[in-house]
Amino acid sequence: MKQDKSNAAYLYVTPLLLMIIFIVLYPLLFNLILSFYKWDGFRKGIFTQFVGFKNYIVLAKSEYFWIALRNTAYFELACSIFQVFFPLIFAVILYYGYFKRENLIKGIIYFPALVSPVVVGLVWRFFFSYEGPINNMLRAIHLDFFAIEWLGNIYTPIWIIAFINIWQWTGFGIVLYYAGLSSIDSELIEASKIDGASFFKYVTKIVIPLLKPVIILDALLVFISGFRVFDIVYVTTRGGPIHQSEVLTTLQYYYSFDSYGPNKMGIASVISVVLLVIVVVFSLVRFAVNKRIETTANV
Amino acid sequence: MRKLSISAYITTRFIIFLGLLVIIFPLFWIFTLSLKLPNEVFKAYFFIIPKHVTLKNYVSALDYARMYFKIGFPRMYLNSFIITSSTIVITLFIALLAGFALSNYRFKGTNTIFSLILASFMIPTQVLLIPLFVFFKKIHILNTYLAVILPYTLFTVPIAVLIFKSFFSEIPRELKEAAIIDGASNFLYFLKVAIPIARPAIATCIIYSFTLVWNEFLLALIFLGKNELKPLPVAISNIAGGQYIVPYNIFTASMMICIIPILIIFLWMQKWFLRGVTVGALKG
Repeated sequence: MKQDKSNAAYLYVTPLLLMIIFIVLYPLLFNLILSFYKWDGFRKGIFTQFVGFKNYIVLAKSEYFWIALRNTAYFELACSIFQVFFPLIFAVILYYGYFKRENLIKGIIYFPALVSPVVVGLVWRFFFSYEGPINNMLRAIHLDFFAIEWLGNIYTPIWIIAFINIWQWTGFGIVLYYAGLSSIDSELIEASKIDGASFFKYVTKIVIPLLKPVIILDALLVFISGFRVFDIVYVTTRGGPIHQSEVLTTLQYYYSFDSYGPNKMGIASVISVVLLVIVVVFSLVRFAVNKRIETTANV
Repeated sequence: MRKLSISAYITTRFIIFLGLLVIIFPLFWIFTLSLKLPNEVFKAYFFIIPKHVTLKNYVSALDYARMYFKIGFPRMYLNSFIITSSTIVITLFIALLAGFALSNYRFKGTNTIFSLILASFMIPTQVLLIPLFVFFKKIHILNTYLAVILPYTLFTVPIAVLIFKSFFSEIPRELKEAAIIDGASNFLYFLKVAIPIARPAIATCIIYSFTLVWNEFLLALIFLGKNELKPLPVAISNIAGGQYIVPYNIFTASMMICIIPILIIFLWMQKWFLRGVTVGALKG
C-alpha cells in the first residue's frame, strides 16, 4: 500500500511516544543512576549520597543474591524443559489423535492460564502444606517418610514453585503449538504415508522441523517470562525460609518495598539492572535467531 | 475421519485423560471442599463428594473478607473492573492512533518507534517500581487507580500497536481513495472507515489486554496501598496469603469466588480467548 508523507503522523504517535518516555525511558535512566546511590526510600534528596560501585559490590558479596540467581536458573531450567516439550507432545497427540471434543479439551487445559497466579499459588500452597492433601495421600499409602514440609525446607520450594508455574502455563503452550500444527498442510501426512514413513518418523522429520519457528517462539516466551515470576513465589514462600527460595524479582522486592526488608533502594536498583542485562542479552539472541530463521526461509 | 489403531487410540486417550486430570483435580478438590460443612472439612482432607452440599462457606467467606480486610468481594471486583477497563480504553486510544500512523504514513523515525516498541516488551517490571513510585508520589497519583493504569498500558500497548498496524495495512487501498474522493480527511477516514473495519482486531486486543491486566499483581501491590483500591489478586493475597492459616472452608470458598466468574467469562467467549493466545504470541 502506498503511504502518504505527512507530518500529521507525528500527531498520531504522540500518545505512544509520551507513554514510552514516561513509562519506559525515564524509569530506565532513573534506575540506572540510582544503582550508584544510597537511598532509603524516604529521604528527600534522592541523589545526594553517591557511592559509586559500592551497591554492586555489596550485592555480589551477598549470599542471598547468589541463592536468588541460582534459584532463577533452576526455575528457568525446569520451565524451559517442561513448558517447551510437554506442550509439544500434548499438542501432537491432541491434533493427530482425532479427538471428538478437542475444543473442550483445549479449553480445560488452557483455563489455568486465566486464573490469577496468586490464586493458583494459594491453591497449591494449600495442597503442599504439611497437613495438606498431598501429604495425606502419601500417608495413606504408607509413604510417611515423604510427607515433608514441602514449602518449609531449603531444598524443595523452588522446584514446587516451578511445578506450579508449569501446571498453570502448559495449556498456553498447547494452544500455541496446536495453532502451529493446524497451519501445516495435511497433504504432507498423506504423502509421507505413501512413501511408507511411520507416524513417528512423520512427526520427527516433517512436523517438528516445520514447527521450528513456533518452538523457538515458545521457548523464548517461556524464558523471558521465567525471569518475571513473582506472584507465585510471593504467595507460597515469600522467598523463605531464610531467603532460600528467593528469586531475583522477589529479592528486589525484599530490598525495596518489603516492609520487613532493609529499604535499600540502591541495591534493589542493582538487581533491576541485572535483570535488565539478562533480558537484553536474551533478546539480542532472539533477534539473531529470528534473523537466521528469516534468512533460511528466504533461501 | 481417519481411523487410529486400537493401541494408538487407547494410548492417546489415556495420555490426554491424565493431562486433564492433573488440571481439573486440584480445582475440583477445592470446589468440593468449599461445599462441605466446616465439621466435615476437618474429618476429610481426602477428596470426598460432600454429603451435605452447603453454600454457607460462601456466605462466611464474604463476611470474613468484610471483617478482616474491611473490604468486601464486590468492591474488589469493582476495583479490578475499573482498572482493567480503563487500561483497555487507554490502550485502544494509543494503539489505534499509532497503528494507523505506522501503516498509513511514511515518516522519519518509524524504525526508531519499532525498536522502542520492541524494547518496551522486554523491560522487566522490576525496573519500573522505584522510579515510578517516586514519580507518582511527586505528581500525587500514588494510591489512585491511575498509578497502576498508566504502567499497565506498557504491557498491552506494544502488541496492540503491532496488531493494528498489520490490520490497517491490509485494508484495500480503494476504500481509502473512495473516502478521500468523497471529501473525507485522513482523520475522518480513520474514524469512520478504518476503526469500524478493525472491530475483530479490537476484540482480540480487548481479550488479550484483559488476560494481562486482570491478574497483574506486583504493581498493584506496591502502588495501591489503600485497601479500598486493591484489585482482586492483591486483596486475596492479603486475605488468604498471610502467615496465619485461614479456616479451610473460608479459604476454599474465597478461592472459588475468584475462580468462578473467570470460568463463566471463559466459557462464554472461549473462542476469542484461544484466538487471543495465538494472535498475541505470533505477532510478538
